[in-house]
Amino acid sequence: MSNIYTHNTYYQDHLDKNGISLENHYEIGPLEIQLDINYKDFLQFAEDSRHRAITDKEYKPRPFLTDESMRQAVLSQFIGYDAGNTMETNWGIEPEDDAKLKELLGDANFEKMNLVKETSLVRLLQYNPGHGIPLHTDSYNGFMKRFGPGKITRYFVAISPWDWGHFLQVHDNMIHHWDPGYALEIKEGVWHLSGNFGIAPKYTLTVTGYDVND
Amino acid sequence: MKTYPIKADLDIYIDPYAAVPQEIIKQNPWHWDPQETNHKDGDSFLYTDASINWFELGEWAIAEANEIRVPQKYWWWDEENEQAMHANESVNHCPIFETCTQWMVQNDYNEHNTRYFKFANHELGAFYEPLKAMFAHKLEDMTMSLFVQPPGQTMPTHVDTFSSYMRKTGEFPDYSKLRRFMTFVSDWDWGHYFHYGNHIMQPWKAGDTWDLVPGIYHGSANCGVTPKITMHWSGKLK
Repeated sequence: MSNIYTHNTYYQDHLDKNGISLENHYEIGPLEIQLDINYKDFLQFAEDSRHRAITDKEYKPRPFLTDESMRQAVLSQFIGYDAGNTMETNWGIEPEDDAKLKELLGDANFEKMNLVKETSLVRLLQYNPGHGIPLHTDSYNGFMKRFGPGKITRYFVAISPWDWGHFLQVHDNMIHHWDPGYALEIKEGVWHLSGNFGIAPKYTLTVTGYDVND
Repeated sequence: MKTYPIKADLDIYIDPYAAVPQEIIKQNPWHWDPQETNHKDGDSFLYTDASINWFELGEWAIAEANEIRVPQKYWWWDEENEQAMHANESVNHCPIFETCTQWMVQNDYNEHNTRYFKFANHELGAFYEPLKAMFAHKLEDMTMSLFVQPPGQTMPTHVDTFSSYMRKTGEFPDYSKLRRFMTFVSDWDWGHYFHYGNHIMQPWKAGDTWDLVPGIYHGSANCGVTPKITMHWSGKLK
Protein backbone atom coordinates (compact mmCIF):
# COMPACT_ATOMS: atom_id res chain seq x y z
CA MET A 1 0.00 0.00 0.00
CA SER A 2 1.58 3.29 -1.01
CA ASN A 3 1.59 6.47 1.04
CA ILE A 4 2.33 10.05 0.01
CA TYR A 5 6.07 9.38 0.16
CA THR A 6 6.08 6.18 -1.88
CA HIS A 7 3.28 7.03 -4.30
CA ASN A 8 5.08 7.01 -7.65
CA THR A 9 2.63 8.24 -10.27
CA TYR A 10 2.46 11.93 -9.40
CA TYR A 11 3.64 12.96 -12.88
CA GLN A 12 1.14 10.72 -14.63
CA ASP A 13 -1.55 12.02 -12.27
CA HIS A 14 -0.62 15.58 -13.30
CA LEU A 15 -0.92 14.71 -17.00
CA ASP A 16 -4.24 12.94 -16.43
CA LYS A 17 -5.61 15.86 -14.42
CA ASN A 18 -4.80 18.18 -17.33
CA GLY A 19 -6.22 15.84 -19.96
CA ILE A 20 -2.82 15.24 -21.60
CA SER A 21 -2.86 11.94 -23.45
CA LEU A 22 -0.79 10.32 -26.17
CA GLU A 23 -4.05 9.03 -27.60
CA ASN A 24 -4.65 12.53 -28.95
CA HIS A 25 -2.47 13.08 -32.01
CA TYR A 26 -0.60 16.36 -32.31
CA GLU A 27 0.17 17.29 -35.93
CA ILE A 28 3.63 18.76 -36.42
CA GLY A 29 3.75 18.79 -40.22
CA PRO A 30 2.90 22.50 -40.64
CA LEU A 31 5.44 23.44 -37.97
CA GLU A 32 8.49 21.89 -39.67
CA ILE A 33 10.92 23.82 -41.89
CA GLN A 34 14.42 23.21 -43.19
CA LEU A 35 16.97 25.92 -42.57
CA ASP A 36 20.16 26.35 -44.53
CA ILE A 37 23.06 26.18 -42.09
CA ASN A 38 26.67 25.13 -41.97
CA TYR A 39 26.61 23.00 -38.86
CA LYS A 40 30.38 22.81 -38.64
CA ASP A 41 30.52 26.56 -37.99
CA PHE A 42 28.38 26.07 -34.89
CA LEU A 43 30.50 23.18 -33.64
CA GLN A 44 33.62 25.27 -34.16
CA PHE A 45 32.01 28.14 -32.27
CA ALA A 46 31.25 25.73 -29.41
CA GLU A 47 34.85 24.61 -29.23
CA ASP A 48 36.26 28.13 -29.53
CA SER A 49 34.04 29.54 -26.80
CA ARG A 50 33.73 26.53 -24.51
CA HIS A 51 35.29 28.54 -21.68
CA ARG A 52 32.22 30.83 -21.72
CA ALA A 53 29.63 28.04 -21.80
CA ILE A 54 27.24 27.28 -18.99
CA THR A 55 28.43 23.78 -18.20
CA ASP A 56 26.45 22.63 -15.20
CA LYS A 57 22.82 23.33 -15.96
CA GLU A 58 20.84 20.29 -14.89
CA TYR A 59 17.07 20.17 -15.02
CA LYS A 60 15.76 21.15 -11.62
CA PRO A 61 13.36 23.57 -9.91
CA ARG A 62 14.58 27.16 -10.08
CA PRO A 63 13.16 30.24 -8.34
CA PHE A 64 12.47 32.15 -11.57
CA LEU A 65 10.38 29.43 -13.22
CA THR A 66 6.64 29.70 -13.61
CA ASP A 67 4.52 27.70 -11.17
CA GLU A 68 3.76 25.10 -13.82
CA SER A 69 7.42 24.73 -14.87
CA MET A 70 8.41 24.49 -11.22
CA ARG A 71 5.83 21.74 -10.69
CA GLN A 72 7.10 19.82 -13.74
CA ALA A 73 10.68 20.03 -12.44
CA VAL A 74 9.66 18.78 -8.99
CA LEU A 75 7.65 15.94 -10.50
CA SER A 76 10.65 14.97 -12.65
CA GLN A 77 13.03 14.99 -9.71
CA PHE A 78 10.67 12.75 -7.78
CA ILE A 79 10.84 10.04 -10.45
CA GLY A 80 14.59 10.03 -10.85
CA TYR A 81 15.84 12.94 -12.93
CA ASP A 82 18.91 14.68 -11.57
CA ALA A 83 22.34 15.98 -12.53
CA GLY A 84 23.36 12.45 -13.46
CA ASN A 85 21.00 12.27 -16.43
CA THR A 86 19.93 15.84 -17.35
CA MET A 87 23.15 17.87 -17.61
CA GLU A 88 23.23 20.47 -20.35
CA THR A 89 25.99 22.68 -21.71
CA ASN A 90 24.78 25.86 -23.39
CA TRP A 91 25.98 29.00 -25.08
CA GLY A 92 24.14 32.25 -25.70
CA ILE A 93 23.55 33.80 -22.29
CA GLU A 94 26.49 36.12 -22.90
CA PRO A 95 25.44 38.88 -25.36
CA GLU A 96 28.51 38.34 -27.54
CA ASP A 97 27.64 34.66 -27.90
CA ASP A 98 24.00 35.42 -28.66
CA ALA A 99 25.16 37.85 -31.34
CA LYS A 100 27.62 35.37 -32.82
CA LEU A 101 24.99 32.63 -32.93
CA LYS A 102 22.58 35.00 -34.72
CA GLU A 103 25.30 35.81 -37.23
CA LEU A 104 25.95 32.10 -37.85
CA LEU A 105 22.24 31.49 -38.30
CA GLY A 106 21.96 34.32 -40.79
CA ASP A 107 19.22 36.68 -41.98
CA ALA A 108 17.69 34.25 -44.44
CA ASN A 109 16.98 31.68 -41.75
CA PHE A 110 15.36 34.29 -39.49
CA GLU A 111 13.17 35.18 -42.45
CA LYS A 112 12.26 31.52 -42.93
CA MET A 113 11.26 31.33 -39.26
CA ASN A 114 9.39 34.65 -39.47
CA LEU A 115 11.31 35.90 -36.45
CA VAL A 116 12.51 39.40 -35.63
CA LYS A 117 16.25 38.84 -35.53
CA GLU A 118 17.22 41.81 -33.35
CA THR A 119 15.23 40.72 -30.30
CA SER A 120 15.49 36.96 -30.81
CA LEU A 121 17.43 34.87 -28.33
CA VAL A 122 19.55 32.03 -29.66
CA ARG A 123 20.90 29.28 -27.42
CA LEU A 124 23.21 26.50 -28.52
CA LEU A 125 22.65 23.38 -26.42
CA GLN A 126 24.93 20.38 -26.08
CA TYR A 127 23.60 17.17 -24.56
CA ASN A 128 26.20 14.51 -24.06
CA PRO A 129 25.30 10.84 -24.23
CA GLY A 130 23.42 9.70 -21.14
CA HIS A 131 21.63 13.01 -20.72
CA GLY A 132 18.31 14.46 -21.77
CA ILE A 133 15.62 16.85 -20.75
CA PRO A 134 12.50 15.18 -19.34
CA LEU A 135 8.91 15.84 -20.27
CA HIS A 136 8.00 19.49 -19.94
CA THR A 137 6.25 22.45 -21.54
CA ASP A 138 7.89 25.74 -22.42
CA SER A 139 6.73 29.07 -21.14
CA TYR A 140 8.07 32.27 -22.66
CA ASN A 141 8.14 33.95 -19.27
CA GLY A 142 11.84 34.79 -19.35
CA PHE A 143 11.62 36.23 -22.84
CA MET A 144 8.54 38.32 -21.98
CA LYS A 145 10.16 39.65 -18.82
CA ARG A 146 13.07 40.86 -20.90
CA PHE A 147 11.33 42.16 -24.00
CA GLY A 148 7.65 42.47 -23.11
CA PRO A 149 4.55 40.60 -24.30
CA GLY A 150 3.84 39.82 -27.94
CA LYS A 151 3.41 36.97 -30.37
CA ILE A 152 6.36 34.82 -29.39
CA THR A 153 7.62 31.78 -31.27
CA ARG A 154 10.23 29.19 -30.36
CA TYR A 155 12.06 26.82 -32.68
CA PHE A 156 14.08 23.69 -32.08
CA VAL A 157 16.87 23.58 -34.66
CA ALA A 158 19.04 20.51 -35.22
CA ILE A 159 22.73 21.34 -35.52
CA SER A 160 24.79 18.14 -35.39
CA PRO A 161 23.81 15.39 -37.82
CA TRP A 162 21.46 12.83 -36.31
CA ASP A 163 23.18 9.91 -34.69
CA TRP A 164 21.93 6.76 -33.01
CA GLY A 165 20.22 7.51 -29.69
CA HIS A 166 19.35 11.15 -30.48
CA PHE A 167 15.67 11.98 -30.25
CA LEU A 168 13.08 14.67 -29.71
CA GLN A 169 9.54 13.79 -28.76
CA VAL A 170 6.84 16.41 -29.30
CA HIS A 171 3.60 15.08 -27.88
CA ASP A 172 3.09 11.76 -29.74
CA ASN A 173 5.69 12.48 -32.44
CA MET A 174 9.10 10.86 -32.03
CA ILE A 175 11.51 12.88 -34.16
CA HIS A 176 14.82 11.43 -35.30
CA HIS A 177 17.02 11.06 -38.41
CA TRP A 178 17.09 14.80 -38.84
CA ASP A 179 19.45 16.70 -41.08
CA PRO A 180 21.34 19.71 -39.72
CA GLY A 181 19.04 22.71 -40.07
CA TYR A 182 15.83 20.76 -39.45
CA ALA A 183 13.65 23.19 -37.49
CA LEU A 184 10.40 22.62 -35.65
CA GLU A 185 8.27 25.25 -33.96
CA ILE A 186 7.59 24.24 -30.37
CA LYS A 187 4.43 26.01 -29.35
CA GLU A 188 3.90 27.22 -25.81
CA GLY A 189 2.25 24.58 -23.65
CA VAL A 190 3.04 21.64 -25.95
CA TRP A 191 4.55 18.69 -24.06
CA HIS A 192 7.96 17.58 -25.27
CA LEU A 193 11.24 16.03 -24.21
CA SER A 194 14.55 15.07 -25.76
CA GLY A 195 17.42 12.75 -25.11
CA ASN A 196 20.78 11.51 -26.20
CA PHE A 197 21.39 7.89 -25.46
CA GLY A 198 23.95 7.17 -28.15
CA ILE A 199 27.70 7.78 -28.12
CA ALA A 200 28.05 11.16 -29.85
CA PRO A 201 27.10 14.58 -28.41
CA LYS A 202 23.87 16.17 -29.64
CA TYR A 203 23.95 19.87 -30.54
CA THR A 204 20.73 21.83 -31.11
CA LEU A 205 19.55 25.42 -31.01
CA THR A 206 16.56 27.00 -29.41
CA VAL A 207 15.58 30.22 -31.10
CA THR A 208 12.97 32.36 -29.40
CA GLY A 209 11.63 35.60 -30.80
CA TYR A 210 8.75 37.79 -31.88
CA ASP A 211 6.83 36.83 -34.97
CA VAL A 212 7.54 39.41 -37.68
CA ASN A 213 3.79 39.66 -38.31
CA ASP A 214 3.05 40.66 -34.72
CA MET B 1 25.57 16.72 -7.25
CA LYS B 2 28.11 17.08 -10.03
CA THR B 3 28.49 14.54 -12.81
CA TYR B 4 31.79 12.88 -13.42
CA PRO B 5 34.31 14.67 -15.55
CA ILE B 6 34.36 12.90 -18.90
CA LYS B 7 37.69 11.17 -19.03
CA ALA B 8 38.54 11.64 -22.69
CA ASP B 9 38.09 14.63 -24.98
CA LEU B 10 34.66 14.67 -26.56
CA ASP B 11 34.65 13.78 -30.19
CA ILE B 12 31.77 14.55 -32.51
CA TYR B 13 32.26 11.13 -34.04
CA ILE B 14 33.17 8.06 -32.08
CA ASP B 15 33.31 5.02 -34.30
CA PRO B 16 31.12 2.33 -32.72
CA TYR B 17 32.23 -0.19 -35.34
CA ALA B 18 35.73 -0.15 -33.88
CA ALA B 19 34.43 -1.51 -30.57
CA VAL B 20 32.48 -4.47 -31.92
CA PRO B 21 34.08 -7.93 -31.93
CA GLN B 22 35.28 -8.87 -35.42
CA GLU B 23 33.45 -12.22 -35.27
CA ILE B 24 30.13 -10.38 -35.04
CA ILE B 25 30.98 -7.98 -37.85
CA LYS B 26 32.10 -10.80 -40.15
CA GLN B 27 29.09 -13.01 -39.46
CA ASN B 28 26.53 -10.21 -39.58
CA PRO B 29 27.44 -7.50 -42.07
CA TRP B 30 25.50 -4.31 -41.45
CA HIS B 31 25.51 -0.81 -42.94
CA TRP B 32 26.90 1.03 -39.88
CA ASP B 33 25.59 4.38 -41.14
CA PRO B 34 23.19 6.41 -38.98
CA GLN B 35 22.10 8.40 -42.06
CA GLU B 36 21.23 5.32 -44.13
CA THR B 37 17.56 5.33 -45.08
CA ASN B 38 17.58 2.33 -47.40
CA HIS B 39 17.77 -0.38 -44.74
CA LYS B 40 15.89 -3.36 -43.38
CA ASP B 41 16.56 -2.72 -39.71
CA GLY B 42 12.86 -2.85 -38.84
CA ASP B 43 12.13 -6.07 -40.65
CA SER B 44 12.54 -8.49 -37.75
CA PHE B 45 9.22 -7.80 -36.02
CA LEU B 46 7.63 -11.17 -35.32
CA TYR B 47 4.12 -10.75 -33.92
CA THR B 48 2.05 -9.28 -31.10
CA ASP B 49 1.82 -12.02 -28.53
CA ALA B 50 -1.46 -12.63 -26.75
CA SER B 51 -0.50 -15.79 -24.87
CA ILE B 52 0.67 -13.85 -21.81
CA ASN B 53 -1.21 -11.26 -19.78
CA TRP B 54 1.44 -8.59 -20.32
CA PHE B 55 -0.39 -6.03 -18.21
CA GLU B 56 -0.34 -8.40 -15.22
CA LEU B 57 3.35 -9.15 -15.78
CA GLY B 58 4.08 -5.42 -15.90
CA GLU B 59 2.16 -4.78 -12.70
CA TRP B 60 4.00 -7.66 -11.02
CA ALA B 61 7.38 -6.33 -12.20
CA ILE B 62 6.72 -2.82 -10.93
CA ALA B 63 5.58 -4.19 -7.56
CA GLU B 64 8.78 -6.26 -7.31
CA ALA B 65 10.91 -3.25 -8.26
CA ASN B 66 9.15 -1.09 -5.69
CA GLU B 67 9.84 -3.76 -3.08
CA ILE B 68 13.57 -3.81 -3.88
CA ARG B 69 13.82 -0.02 -4.50
CA VAL B 70 17.48 -0.14 -5.58
CA PRO B 71 18.08 -1.30 -9.17
CA GLN B 72 20.33 -4.34 -9.20
CA LYS B 73 22.03 -3.46 -12.48
CA TYR B 74 23.99 -0.41 -13.64
CA TRP B 75 27.17 0.31 -15.57
CA TRP B 76 30.08 2.21 -14.07
CA TRP B 77 33.78 2.71 -14.51
CA ASP B 78 36.03 1.70 -11.62
CA GLU B 79 38.57 4.48 -11.91
CA GLU B 80 41.02 3.07 -9.40
CA ASN B 81 41.28 -0.36 -10.98
CA GLU B 82 40.38 0.66 -14.55
CA GLN B 83 37.58 -1.86 -14.72
CA ALA B 84 34.35 -1.62 -16.70
CA MET B 85 31.77 -2.74 -14.18
CA HIS B 86 28.26 -4.11 -14.58
CA ALA B 87 26.98 -3.75 -11.02
CA ASN B 88 29.55 -5.80 -9.06
CA GLU B 89 31.07 -7.69 -11.98
CA SER B 90 34.02 -6.61 -14.07
CA VAL B 91 33.50 -7.09 -17.81
CA ASN B 92 37.10 -6.32 -18.78
CA HIS B 93 37.49 -9.88 -20.04
CA CYS B 94 34.20 -9.80 -21.96
CA PRO B 95 33.59 -8.85 -25.60
CA ILE B 96 31.50 -5.86 -24.48
CA PHE B 97 34.58 -4.22 -22.94
CA GLU B 98 35.55 -1.97 -25.87
CA THR B 99 31.98 -0.73 -26.14
CA CYS B 100 32.04 -0.06 -22.40
CA THR B 101 35.05 2.19 -22.80
CA GLN B 102 33.12 4.19 -25.42
CA TRP B 103 30.27 4.52 -22.92
CA MET B 104 32.12 5.22 -19.72
CA VAL B 105 35.55 6.60 -20.60
CA GLN B 106 34.80 8.51 -23.80
CA ASN B 107 31.31 9.41 -22.58
CA ASP B 108 29.34 10.12 -19.44
CA TYR B 109 27.50 6.87 -18.81
CA ASN B 110 27.63 5.78 -15.21
CA GLU B 111 25.52 4.47 -12.36
CA HIS B 112 23.34 7.59 -12.50
CA ASN B 113 21.95 7.00 -15.98
CA THR B 114 22.16 3.25 -16.69
CA ARG B 115 20.21 1.69 -13.83
CA TYR B 116 17.63 -1.03 -14.29
CA PHE B 117 15.88 -3.75 -12.39
CA LYS B 118 16.42 -7.28 -13.64
CA PHE B 119 14.34 -10.36 -12.86
CA ALA B 120 15.73 -13.51 -14.41
CA ASN B 121 14.48 -17.06 -14.94
CA HIS B 122 12.87 -18.48 -11.78
CA GLU B 123 12.70 -15.00 -10.26
CA LEU B 124 9.82 -14.54 -12.67
CA GLY B 125 7.69 -16.73 -10.38
CA ALA B 126 4.35 -17.80 -11.84
CA PHE B 127 5.26 -16.20 -15.16
CA TYR B 128 8.34 -18.40 -15.63
CA GLU B 129 6.68 -21.37 -17.34
CA PRO B 130 4.42 -19.49 -19.76
CA LEU B 131 7.28 -17.15 -20.71
CA LYS B 132 9.62 -20.11 -21.20
CA ALA B 133 7.05 -21.75 -23.46
CA MET B 134 7.20 -18.83 -25.89
CA PHE B 135 10.71 -19.65 -27.12
CA ALA B 136 11.65 -23.06 -25.64
CA HIS B 137 11.08 -24.62 -29.07
CA LYS B 138 13.55 -22.21 -30.70
CA LEU B 139 16.35 -21.84 -28.14
CA GLU B 140 18.43 -24.20 -26.07
CA ASP B 141 20.39 -23.20 -22.95
CA MET B 142 17.81 -20.44 -22.82
CA THR B 143 17.97 -17.65 -20.26
CA MET B 144 15.17 -15.18 -19.66
CA SER B 145 15.39 -11.68 -18.22
CA LEU B 146 12.80 -9.03 -17.56
CA PHE B 147 14.11 -5.46 -17.38
CA VAL B 148 12.38 -2.55 -15.68
CA GLN B 149 14.00 0.69 -16.84
CA PRO B 150 13.01 3.64 -14.62
CA PRO B 151 12.61 7.18 -16.00
CA GLY B 152 15.95 8.87 -16.67
CA GLN B 153 17.79 5.64 -17.40
CA THR B 154 19.25 4.13 -20.53
CA MET B 155 20.77 1.05 -22.05
CA PRO B 156 23.46 2.76 -24.14
CA THR B 157 23.78 1.81 -27.78
CA HIS B 158 25.56 -1.49 -28.35
CA VAL B 159 25.65 -4.74 -30.29
CA ASP B 160 24.62 -7.80 -28.30
CA THR B 161 27.78 -9.64 -27.27
CA PHE B 162 26.14 -12.13 -24.91
CA SER B 163 28.50 -11.35 -22.05
CA SER B 164 25.96 -12.71 -19.53
CA TYR B 165 25.94 -15.99 -21.44
CA MET B 166 29.73 -16.01 -21.33
CA ARG B 167 29.75 -15.36 -17.60
CA LYS B 168 27.15 -18.09 -17.06
CA THR B 169 28.69 -20.81 -19.23
CA GLY B 170 32.36 -19.88 -19.14
CA GLU B 171 32.38 -20.30 -22.95
CA PHE B 172 33.37 -17.65 -25.47
CA PRO B 173 30.16 -17.04 -27.42
CA ASP B 174 29.65 -18.66 -30.82
CA TYR B 175 27.82 -15.75 -32.39
CA SER B 176 26.64 -17.79 -35.33
CA LYS B 177 24.37 -19.76 -32.99
CA LEU B 178 23.26 -17.28 -30.33
CA ARG B 179 20.03 -15.35 -30.62
CA ARG B 180 17.92 -12.94 -28.60
CA PHE B 181 14.20 -12.27 -28.74
CA MET B 182 12.43 -9.39 -27.04
CA THR B 183 8.86 -8.50 -26.13
CA PHE B 184 7.62 -5.12 -24.94
CA VAL B 185 5.77 -5.76 -21.68
CA SER B 186 4.27 -2.29 -21.41
CA ASP B 187 2.69 -0.07 -24.05
CA TRP B 188 4.82 2.74 -25.50
CA ASP B 189 4.62 5.86 -23.37
CA TRP B 190 6.20 9.32 -23.10
CA GLY B 191 9.95 9.22 -23.60
CA HIS B 192 10.19 5.47 -24.19
CA TYR B 193 12.75 5.00 -26.92
CA PHE B 194 14.20 1.94 -28.61
CA HIS B 195 16.24 2.11 -31.76
CA TYR B 196 17.20 -1.05 -33.58
CA GLY B 197 19.80 0.12 -36.02
CA ASN B 198 18.14 2.93 -37.94
CA HIS B 199 14.64 1.74 -37.14
CA ILE B 200 12.90 3.54 -34.30
CA MET B 201 10.39 1.22 -32.67
CA GLN B 202 7.89 3.82 -31.41
CA PRO B 203 4.98 3.37 -30.91
CA TRP B 204 4.72 -0.18 -29.65
CA LYS B 205 2.08 -2.21 -27.89
CA ALA B 206 2.54 -4.62 -25.01
CA GLY B 207 3.17 -8.05 -26.54
CA ASP B 208 5.02 -6.74 -29.61
CA THR B 209 7.76 -9.30 -30.13
CA TRP B 210 11.01 -8.86 -32.04
CA ASP B 211 13.74 -11.15 -33.26
CA LEU B 212 16.81 -9.12 -32.35
CA VAL B 213 18.88 -10.40 -35.23
CA PRO B 214 22.57 -10.18 -34.39
CA GLY B 215 25.06 -7.52 -35.33
CA ILE B 216 22.76 -4.50 -35.36
CA TYR B 217 23.64 -1.50 -33.23
CA HIS B 218 20.78 -0.74 -30.84
CA GLY B 219 19.91 0.90 -27.57
CA SER B 220 17.04 2.09 -25.45
CA ALA B 221 16.15 4.86 -23.09
CA ASN B 222 13.41 6.07 -20.87
CA CYS B 223 13.12 9.84 -20.84
CA GLY B 224 9.50 9.65 -19.75
CA VAL B 225 7.46 9.41 -16.58
CA THR B 226 6.56 5.70 -16.32
CA PRO B 227 8.80 2.62 -16.22
CA LYS B 228 9.64 0.93 -19.53
CA ILE B 229 9.47 -2.85 -19.25
CA THR B 230 10.90 -5.41 -21.69
CA MET B 231 11.30 -9.18 -21.65
CA HIS B 232 14.29 -10.90 -23.22
CA TRP B 233 15.09 -14.49 -24.18
CA SER B 234 18.64 -15.53 -25.08
CA GLY B 235 20.13 -18.86 -26.10
CA LYS B 236 21.45 -21.06 -28.87
CA LEU B 237 19.22 -21.51 -31.90
CA LYS B 238 18.04 -25.10 -32.16
